[in-house]
Amino acid sequence: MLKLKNIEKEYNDFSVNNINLEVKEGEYLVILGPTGTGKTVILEIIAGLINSNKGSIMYRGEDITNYSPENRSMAMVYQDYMLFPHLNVKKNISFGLKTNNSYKNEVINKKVKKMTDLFGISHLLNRDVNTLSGGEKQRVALARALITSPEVLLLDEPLSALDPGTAENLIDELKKIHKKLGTTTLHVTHNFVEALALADKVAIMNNGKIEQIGDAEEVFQKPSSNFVAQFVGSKNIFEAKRIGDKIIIEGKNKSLEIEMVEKINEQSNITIRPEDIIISPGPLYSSARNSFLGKIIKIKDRLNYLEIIVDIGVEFSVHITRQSFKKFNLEKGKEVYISFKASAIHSY
Amino acid sequence: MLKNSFFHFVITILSLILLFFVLAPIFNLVFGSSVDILLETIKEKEVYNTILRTFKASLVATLLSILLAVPLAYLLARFDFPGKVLIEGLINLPIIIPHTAAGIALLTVFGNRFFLGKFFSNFNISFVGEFAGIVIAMMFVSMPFLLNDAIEGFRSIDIRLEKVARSLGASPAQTFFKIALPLNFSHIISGSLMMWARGLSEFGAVTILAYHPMSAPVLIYERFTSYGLKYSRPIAAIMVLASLIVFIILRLVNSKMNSVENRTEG
Repeated sequence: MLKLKNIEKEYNDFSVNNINLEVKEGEYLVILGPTGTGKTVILEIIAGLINSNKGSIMYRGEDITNYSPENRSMAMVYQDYMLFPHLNVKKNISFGLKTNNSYKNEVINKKVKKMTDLFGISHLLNRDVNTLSGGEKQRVALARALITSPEVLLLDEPLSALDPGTAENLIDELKKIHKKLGTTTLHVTHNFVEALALADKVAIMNNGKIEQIGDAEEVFQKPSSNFVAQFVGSKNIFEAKRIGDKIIIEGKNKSLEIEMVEKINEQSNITIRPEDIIISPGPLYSSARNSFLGKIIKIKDRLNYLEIIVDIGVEFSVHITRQSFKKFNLEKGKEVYISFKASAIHSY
Repeated sequence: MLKNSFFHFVITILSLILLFFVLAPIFNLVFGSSVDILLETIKEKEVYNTILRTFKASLVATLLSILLAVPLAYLLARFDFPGKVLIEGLINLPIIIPHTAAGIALLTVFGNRFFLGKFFSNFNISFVGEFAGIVIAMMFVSMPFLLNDAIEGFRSIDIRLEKVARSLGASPAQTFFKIALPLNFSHIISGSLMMWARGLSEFGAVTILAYHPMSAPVLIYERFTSYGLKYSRPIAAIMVLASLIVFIILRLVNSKMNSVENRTEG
């Protein structure tokens, strides 16, 4: 198990504070957060490439805080590949093995073949790395890291420089390879689709701090702060009050009474994911216990879906498919009903 | 538009004046002597030996500097330590101070009665009036050209390349020899050529430390003061031609390296 205890680092003009993190053996942890929040710094501290000002790093019960990088076996992969430009593909991949003089050439060749077969890049071995496509470069970079059988694989925005199609393919490959090799992996990204697809566990970071850590599903469904809620795309964030048995959201000129399953304090933040809300031209008779009449005030095209802003006293964001949008003949100014289950409301 | 073209006119005229100022004397020097006289001069044993000695001394100075300046360049480019800014300023001092003063400064350390002079005399190396004196004089005043190029080269390498190497198990030394040094090769080569060319032409510091055995600039000066323009001119022309050849090679090597680097970036 890899354990970070109270790691702190002042770095140029920003800092990471009090980072505590545990990664189990074989686990795939994604650190998710906006760019410039110190995610890369954490990876570099784990790799031993920069020193933290405070705190310690434990690996399998051993304090490795002061180990130099070459003695940690924690291989780093960067967003822009960082392939050695003066070496060809094969020499790039075998680099880590050659630094350890004990490997014979045949062993190196065997390992290179195994690793390049795994990534489907065997045909590129003699190529100049500068002539490769982005996807090929990142496969070479991953093969170069994994061939050393690292204790921990550190991925710094590994898919962010790739076009969406290539990134999707690489997500599948990363998943497959993680399953096969079982390498403990820390993956840093700002893209939560990536996180959802790959992570066993997600840590959300903001301003140099970890805001929430947990199962991917749980973090998305049950954010623990406004920042996390917003970051994972849960747009409907309100302050709710409990008055007696009633739960009230105060609107601009109207307050709404809602029903929810979770118990809340007198004052709490609540959030409802936009895709958990149903929009309909008339009242809906279903298991959804919350139903309100409102007016469409904005329609935003999001490519895969439409985001409808409905004013029911407070503004709600609702996601709807193109098909339903056409079927219901929705347009700005139209009156509609929105409904959501009592269990769809999460409080924190 | 009129303003603009007037502006272009002015800067073109000023540029031409400067080019004329630099090129006219050199052109006149080189093409003012007949080929026969040049050939005759170079056949002269003293001239031939002097030029060879000059080239050799500058080469030795450059090789020694590569050994010492490349590590310093790496240190300055990659590590933070107290006094770094001061050192970065000091390394250019040899270019700024009068070169005769540089020669005298060297004398106070490498002179026979001074500590490094005494130290090296144990190995039968002395500097005053010796080949080794020419070497250290050239090295002192032209080393910054190599050093600055090497620093710039190391700084232009993405540090994450070295970080990846470390994370893959390379020691600091392996990272330096396998990643940083090969990637900085073109800067080190072009810096060395520049240093070598600059070393060839050093007069001030060399005259103080080793008037004899003569190096080319000293010989030119001596012929001029003893025999006049007519006798110094052909040697001067030969040195300029030699430097020109070096300069052209330098540019060719540099542009070739640069094209490799550009390909690397793309």
